[in-house]
Amino acid sequence: MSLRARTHALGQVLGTAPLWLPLALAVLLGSVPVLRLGWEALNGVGLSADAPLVALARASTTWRALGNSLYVSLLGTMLAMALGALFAVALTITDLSRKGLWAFAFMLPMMIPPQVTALAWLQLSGPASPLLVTLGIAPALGSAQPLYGAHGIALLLGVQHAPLVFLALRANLVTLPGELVEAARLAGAAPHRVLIDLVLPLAAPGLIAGGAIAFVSALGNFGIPAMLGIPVGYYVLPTLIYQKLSALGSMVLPEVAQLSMLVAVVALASLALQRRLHRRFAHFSCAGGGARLPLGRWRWPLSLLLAAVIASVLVVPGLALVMASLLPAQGMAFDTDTVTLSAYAEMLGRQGVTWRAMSNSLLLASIAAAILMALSLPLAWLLVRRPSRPLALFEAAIEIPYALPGVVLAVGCILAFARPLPLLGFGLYGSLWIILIAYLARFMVVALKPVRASLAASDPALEEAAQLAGAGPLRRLVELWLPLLAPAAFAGALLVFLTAVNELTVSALLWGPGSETLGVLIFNLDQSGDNALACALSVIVMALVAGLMLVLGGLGRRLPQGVIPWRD
Amino acid sequence: MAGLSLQALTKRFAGRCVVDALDLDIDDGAFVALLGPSGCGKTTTLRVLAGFEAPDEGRLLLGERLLAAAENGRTSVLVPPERRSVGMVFQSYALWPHLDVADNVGYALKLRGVRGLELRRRVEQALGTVRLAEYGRARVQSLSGGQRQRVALARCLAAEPQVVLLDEPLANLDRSLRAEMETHFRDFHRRTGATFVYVTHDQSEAMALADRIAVLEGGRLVQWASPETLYREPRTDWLAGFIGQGEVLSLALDAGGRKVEGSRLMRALGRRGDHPVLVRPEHVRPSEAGVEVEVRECVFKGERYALSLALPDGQALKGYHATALRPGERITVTLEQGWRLERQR
Repeated sequence: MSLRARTHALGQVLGTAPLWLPLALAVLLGSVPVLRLGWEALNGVGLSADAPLVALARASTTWRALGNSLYVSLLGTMLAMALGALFAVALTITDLSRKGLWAFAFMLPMMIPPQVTALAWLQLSGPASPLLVTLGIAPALGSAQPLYGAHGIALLLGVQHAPLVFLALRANLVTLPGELVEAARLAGAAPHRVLIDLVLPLAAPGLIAGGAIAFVSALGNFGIPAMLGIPVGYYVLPTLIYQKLSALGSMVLPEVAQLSMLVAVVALASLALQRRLHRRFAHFSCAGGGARLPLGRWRWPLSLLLAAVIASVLVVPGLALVMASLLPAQGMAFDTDTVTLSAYAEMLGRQGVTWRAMSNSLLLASIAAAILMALSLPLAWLLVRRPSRPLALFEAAIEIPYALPGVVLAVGCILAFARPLPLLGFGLYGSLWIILIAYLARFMVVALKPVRASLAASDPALEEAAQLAGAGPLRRLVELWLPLLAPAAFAGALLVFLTAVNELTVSALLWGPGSETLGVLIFNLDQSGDNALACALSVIVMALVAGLMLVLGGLGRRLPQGVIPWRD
Repeated sequence: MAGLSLQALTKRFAGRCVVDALDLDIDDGAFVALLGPSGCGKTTTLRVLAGFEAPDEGRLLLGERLLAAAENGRTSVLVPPERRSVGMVFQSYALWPHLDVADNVGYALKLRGVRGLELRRRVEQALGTVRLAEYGRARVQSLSGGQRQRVALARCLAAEPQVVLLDEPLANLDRSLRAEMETHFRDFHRRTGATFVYVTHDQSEAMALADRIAVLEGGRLVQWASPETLYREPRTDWLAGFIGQGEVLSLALDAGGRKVEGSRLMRALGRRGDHPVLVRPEHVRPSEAGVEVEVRECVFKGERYALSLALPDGQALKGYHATALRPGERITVTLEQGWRLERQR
């Protein structure tokens, strides 16, 4: 290499140096807690009788929780796949009208925090349900809440994660070429045959991917098994970890680390299985899009079925939640005499903790969203325009904290930041900072994805033209890509905000006095029996979520396809 | 077997007429082409024939069988594609990627309950006719573009349709393969005896394959004739420009037939008028006496040179010449015949 070429190459690297800084930060954030957890878990491996791993393996609670986790996650995943597949097929390749509206209604449960979902369903069933009491069909007082236990948890996990299957399958179905369907119909296949012979085999990768994501999410879900399992002593791995930590504190950290690794191993194993299956079907991948199946006389039955699903997973539980929030006590009928706004007044007026939790959540969510939005632009540019092998590794480091269940990241964060930091002399555990760090690590991918997709879809010639005009890397980033990618970056930030403001799993393990989040508060209110307060706060959170989703949907017009999931 | 009858067929998208009262009677076993520039409505017509689009007006019959009927935007009869016994060859081949070659070819037969040895025999036969007999277990992705299109043909052949629709089937193939595929299509047509409707924007493809061509423009039928008639006797000035080489002169003609003989044409040359007259380059002969024209451009075409010429009044003319000429050079030519056109726009 000549000297000239060398200095040129050096200039290229130095020119992009400011871009590598955010990358390093992102990788550090993502990998430190996970590596720290791995280190702790390895330390616990020993053959002595009191080694944490041995103790753990001996405890029957561990195996019961693992079995419970697998059982409810599998059952929930099956339900999620059925519901998600139904909606993905109906809203992607049929000629149903108002698809955007259906998709919005179907996606809403995913965006609603799981503990709110659980709370809403609890108001729907059982002897104290305001809906059933008002209708006069409530079961006798003292009869069991039917949602408590394994099947209630599985049902709600299915409902909560069905949109994940929907999204993955839909991504597959939109690329299904219309000609393939047309050729099958001309060969004599009626629409339902086309669905069985053609659409299902070709969409299998999407269904498998969606199923795997739903399974891992169900495995890591804390809110639902906490609300529906803990009251009857039914523990899954995340709730077992929570229970151990909240009962015994940092004494049990080594044991909890092992439990977290167990969760991580199951999650990674299922993702590995998904990759294997995906490879088997991947050669069916096709490109094009525009496949349409006419519904004909099935239009009305299908519309009714979709409406019934939406009503039972969204409208009725939501209604029950609102009713419960307007009643002074559980088990009362809903009429003009009993309705009161006292729960809202109490919550917003007297409970200082509400405002604190709200401002904590909003602050955490907006700071995380802002930081991640700023990081996402240079990161996406590096990943798309300067792809290399180490970068691919870094990308994995960014993705892992999101792919792994939240409880794993939370325990990793406790391990990494519980002790006072060197030089600074104070610990982060129990403060807002540790939650912020966890959020940054966990939601990096959420912010990055839309920007990355947007950048990858844009014409590289734009950049080359700017380069030929004499613009350096930084200038190109600021003057070319910033305006072009701003909508995608903003959409990513909103998604982060939406997810973070509702987050429970991570903050439930990391919060301390004064650093409650909305998710933690709803959970705590419910655990302490303040049902009406918890419901009122949940209603407010649901309204907030729906509002933000509408904002995002409005933004979707200016974004490339697929960035906003519930828009065509 | 039966012919296709399109009666005042109309299709609108968002209020715009894409196919406008199209009348065509396609004979049983004919090979016809729908020809036109992009956006002329030919693909929409094909999709109405296949049953993927419902017409807004008019009727569509296959022999005695009513496939579609509509009035005032309301469809009263619409036989779905799977019950029309219509086959289609797509530009993108549309082979199902999760099935191997034999399963692609045999799918329609399987749906009709053909099983076992009979199925295998018929699949092998269909693959044999496109000379892909040994490719039955091959994956679709491992085939070249030309091979894929032949599999698509075999798939169509095996289903024994009454009507075969071909939607720009050669557009994705390179030039050298096209001639070979054209032979396959002709062979395929002879073998099946089915009625073929071939959509293309390429006039030479349509001319080479079809025994009758419907030229569409803006959703309307411009002319429905044999390739020879389209070339020699195009109806309108637009069509004359769309098919073949040549220039349309604006002349004042004496009364007479549409065919303009040499002497009548030479007499009219000096008089500008508003009769459009097509003069093909092969009818422009260099000669001792005649009209003096200026050479504007001279392009080498292999066997001869193509000339762009200017008449004394400035109107453009095209001709051929055996040797190269320089721009600006003047030669004398005789116009041997012309064809009077209707004004379309």
